[in-house]
Amino acid sequence: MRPTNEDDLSRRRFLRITLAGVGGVPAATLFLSTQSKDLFPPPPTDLDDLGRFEWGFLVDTTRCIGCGSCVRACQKENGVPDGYYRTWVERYEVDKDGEVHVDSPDGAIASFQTDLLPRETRNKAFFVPKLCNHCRSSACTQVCPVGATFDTPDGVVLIDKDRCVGCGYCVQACPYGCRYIDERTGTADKCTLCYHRLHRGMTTACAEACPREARICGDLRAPKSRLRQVLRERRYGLLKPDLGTRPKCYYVGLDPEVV
Amino acid sequence: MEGFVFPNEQHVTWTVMIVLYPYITGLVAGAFIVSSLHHVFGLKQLAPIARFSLVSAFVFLLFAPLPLLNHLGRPDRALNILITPNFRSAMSGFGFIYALYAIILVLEIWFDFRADIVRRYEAASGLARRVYRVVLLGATYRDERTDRLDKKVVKTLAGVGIPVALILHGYVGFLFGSIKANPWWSTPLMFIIFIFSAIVSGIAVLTFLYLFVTWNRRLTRNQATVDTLARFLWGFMMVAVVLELMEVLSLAYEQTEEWSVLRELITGRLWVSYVVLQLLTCSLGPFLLLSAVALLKLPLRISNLLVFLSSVLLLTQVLLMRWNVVIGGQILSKSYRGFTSYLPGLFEREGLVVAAVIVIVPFLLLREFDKRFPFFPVPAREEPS
Amino acid sequence: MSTTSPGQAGPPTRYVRRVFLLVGVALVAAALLQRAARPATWGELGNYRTAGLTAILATEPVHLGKEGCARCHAEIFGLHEKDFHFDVECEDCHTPGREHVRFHDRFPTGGDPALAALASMPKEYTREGCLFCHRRLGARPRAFAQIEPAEHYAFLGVNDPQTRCIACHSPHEPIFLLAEVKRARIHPVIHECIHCHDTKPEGDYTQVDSHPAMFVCSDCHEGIVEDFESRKHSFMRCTACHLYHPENEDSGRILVNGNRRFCLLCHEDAPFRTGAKQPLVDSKAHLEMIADALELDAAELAADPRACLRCHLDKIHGDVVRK
Repeated sequence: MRPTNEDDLSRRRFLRITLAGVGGVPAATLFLSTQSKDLFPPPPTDLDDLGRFEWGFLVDTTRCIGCGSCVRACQKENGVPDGYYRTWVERYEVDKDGEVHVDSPDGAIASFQTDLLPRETRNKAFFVPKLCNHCRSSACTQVCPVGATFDTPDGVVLIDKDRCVGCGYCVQACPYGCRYIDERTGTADKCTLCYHRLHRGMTTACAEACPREARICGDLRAPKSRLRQVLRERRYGLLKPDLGTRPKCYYVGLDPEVV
Repeated sequence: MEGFVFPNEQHVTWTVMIVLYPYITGLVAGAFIVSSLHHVFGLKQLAPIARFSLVSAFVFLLFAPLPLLNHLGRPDRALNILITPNFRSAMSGFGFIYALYAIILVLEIWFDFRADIVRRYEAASGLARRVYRVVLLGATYRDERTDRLDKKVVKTLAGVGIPVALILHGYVGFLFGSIKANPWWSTPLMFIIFIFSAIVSGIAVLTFLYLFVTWNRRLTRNQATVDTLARFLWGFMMVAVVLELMEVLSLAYEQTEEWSVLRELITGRLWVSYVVLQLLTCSLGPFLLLSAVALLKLPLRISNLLVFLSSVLLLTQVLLMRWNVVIGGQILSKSYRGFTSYLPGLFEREGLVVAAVIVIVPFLLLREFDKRFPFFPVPAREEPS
Repeated sequence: MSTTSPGQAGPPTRYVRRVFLLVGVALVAAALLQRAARPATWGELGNYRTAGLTAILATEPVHLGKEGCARCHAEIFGLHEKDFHFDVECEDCHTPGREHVRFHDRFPTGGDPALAALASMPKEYTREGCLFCHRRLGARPRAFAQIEPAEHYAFLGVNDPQTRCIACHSPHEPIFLLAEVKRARIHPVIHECIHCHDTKPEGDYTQVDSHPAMFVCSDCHEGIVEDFESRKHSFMRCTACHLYHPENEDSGRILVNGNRRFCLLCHEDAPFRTGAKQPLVDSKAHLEMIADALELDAAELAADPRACLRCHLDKIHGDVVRK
C-alpha cells in the first residue's frame, strides 16, 4: 500500500528479478513433473508484494497438549533430517521445591510416554512448543559471513542453501537452538516459517497440524488477523528478550522457567 | 548428556578443528611479534631467532585455514567469504585480514631473504639459477646499499605487521566474544585474552624449538636469547593468565542468571581440562618454574631445562585454553539447564589423527625450509653470522 | 659480487617499487575478479541472492489441508466436521496426501498398482497414534480428554491390552456428535460466564480449574440427580454423558445423550471384553431379537440412535426424564 512513482520503478525491477529467479526449481515429485494446477495456489510472481506482509507467530502454551503433531508435520513438510528439529515441544515440570525439570525426547516427535515426576511431587507442569523466532534483529543473519542467511522483505529469516558454506557460526549465534547443520548437504538449516505455504495463502504445516489451535501464524500488518486479535486479547512473553534479537514469535502463558 | 539441552544441541557443531584454528593463528601472531621485537623494537638478544620466528609465523599461517577448510560443510564454497562477504558478520573479515597478513608476511620474508637468494643465484647455474631469478623477480643484484634498503623495508613491514597480527588474532577472540547467545564466550575481554595467549604461545613455541634444536644438534646456544625469551614468556603468561582469571572472576562476582550454570560447567564438565590441567598444571606450573628461573640463581643446565619445560607446559596451556573456550562453550546448553558432551574420534574426518597431522606438518615444513636456508648456521662454516 | 648495470652510480632500487606495484596489481585484479564472481540476482533485495528466496517460495507444499481431502471424501469430511475432532487435520493421522491426490487425479480409474501402493495412505491410526494426544500426562491441560491405557481398559473390562482405540471409538465420529452449531455454548440457558460466576475467579482466569465451582448439576436439576444416584449407573458422573464446561469456552456444549453407540462402548460384546464388570450384549442380534419379539420394524429400530433407552432408561434416569 505505497502507491508512489518510486514504487512503480521498483516494481518493474522486481518483475525482472522474478523472471530470473523462479526458473529451474526442481520439484521433487513422484508422479508429475509439472505442478498440479489446482492442488495448490501458485506462488506469487511479484516480489514487490512481499513487503506488504510481516509474518509473525504465536504459541499458546496454555493450549498445547504435547501431542507432537506439529513436529511430525514439519518433518514431513520440510524433509527435516532425523535427529534434528525445525520445531520441537519441550515439557516443563516443576516440583514442590520449585526445581524445574525439562525434557523433549526426540523433540517430542512421538509425544511423551511417561511423566517426569511422580504426581505427589509435581507442582506444575506444561508444554512449550518451540520454533525459529524469526527475529527482527536476528543474530544468525548478522553473523553469516557469506550472506547465505537473510531477512526477507516480509520478515522471515531464510537460508540460501546454494551459498551457505556450512561454517556453523549461525548455529552458535542463535540463542534458541533453532539451527543445525544438515549433514546431507553440509549446509545450515532451520525453520522457514513454511515460506512456500504462506504466500500461497496457506498456514504453516505445524499450525495446520495443531489440533488445539495452540499455534497461529499470521500477518502482523493485518489488524484483523487472528494473530493480531489474540495478541490484543492475551498477555504474552518473548524468549530471551534481553538479548535484543526482537523475536516475532509470541508466547502466551510464558513462565519465567522457559528459556 | 546431562540435564536438558535443546534437541538440536546434541551434536556439537564446532569440533577439535575449530580448537586448532585459533591455536595455530595464535602461534602465527605470537611468532611474528617475537620477530618484530627484534626488527622494530631493536631487541638485539632476539636477533639469532628473528628470521626463524618470521618463517615460523609464515609456515603456521599457511596451515591456519586448513582446519577451517576441513571443518566447513561445503569447503568447495570457501571463497564465498571473499566473493559475497556480509560485513555485518565478524567472520567475514577473515578472508581479508588473512590475505593482508599473508601479503605482509611474504613481502617481509622476501626482503629479509633477498640478499641470501641473490648470493645463491650467483653461485647457481642452469635450472636452479632460473628459478632463483624468478623468485627474485629479476632483481638479481645486491650491495650494501640494497641490503640497507631491504632492512628498512623489513623494519617497516614488521611495524605494520604488528597491528595486523594483533587484529588477526584479536579478531579470532572477537568471533567468540561477540556471540551473545553463549554466556561462556560473550565477554569483551575475550579478544584481549586471545591476543595475550597468542603471544604466549608464539614465544613458547620459539623457545621450545630453539632449545630443542640447539640441544639436538649440539649447537652453541646464545644464552642471552634464551634468557630474554624466558623473561618475556614469564611476563606475558602472567598477563594472559590473570586476564583469564579476571574474566571468570567478574562472571562469578556479577552473579548473573548464567553464573549458576557456568559454575556447574567449571566444576563439572570442565573440571579436569580447565581447573586441573589449564589452571593448576599448565598455568601455575610454568609460573613457578619461570619465577624460579628469573629470581633464583640456578645452574645454567637446570634453568634452561626449566625454561624448556615451561615452554612445553605453556604450549599445552594455550591449547587447553582454546579447547575449554571452543568446546566448553558448546557443551553448555543455551537452555542453561544442561550439558552435552564431546570427544573427537580418532580416525574421522575431524578426528584426532587429522588434527595431529595439521599440527605436525608445519614443523616438518619448517625443517625443510631449514635444510635449504639454515636458521642456525653451524659456526664452523665460514659465512659470517 | 653483485651485478650492477653499467653506467649506473649505484645498484637500481626500482625493484622495491616493482614488488609493491605487483602487489597492487594483484589486489586490483582480485577486486575485479570478486566483482565478476558475484552470483546472478545478488544484492537486488539486500545482501543476498534473490534466487535463494524465490527457490524457497517455489517449493511445493506437501500437506494439502482437510479441504483438499474433502474434494473426494466429502461424506467422511461432513461427519468429521461435526465431530469433536473437527480441529484435527486428516493428514495428522493419515500422513500427507499430495502424492495420493496426484495419483488419483492422473489415473481416475486406477493406474499402475505399484504406483498406487506408493500413493496409498494409512487407513487407520495405531493405538500409539491416538495416545499421542490422549495419553494421560501431568503436563497436559487437565480438561483435555486423556486416559491411562491400563486404567481405561480395566474400567471398561477390556482384557486384551493390544485392543485398538478404534475398536470402540470411531475417529471420525466419536461418542459425542456435536450439535448443528459446532461451537455451541456451555448450556442452552446458562452460557455466559456471569450467569454462574458473579465474582472474579481466583488466580488465572484462563485456567478453568482455578474458577470457583459456582454450581453443581444438582443446584438446578436436584430431582434428576437424586434419582440418578439411586440407579445402576450412579458410579458415573453426569458429565460422562452430558459434557459441560470444557476447557475453553468456545467449543463447549451440553448434550442430552443416550446415544446407543455410547452405551455400547461398555456393553457391546467384543472378543477383548471379559464382561465381569458389566452385562455384555451382541447389539445386532439383540435388536433383531427385540424387533422380532415385540413385532417392531427392525430397520427402524436399528436406525434409532436412542434404541437402548427405549427399554433400559430405568438404569439411568427415572420418569423425571422427558421421553
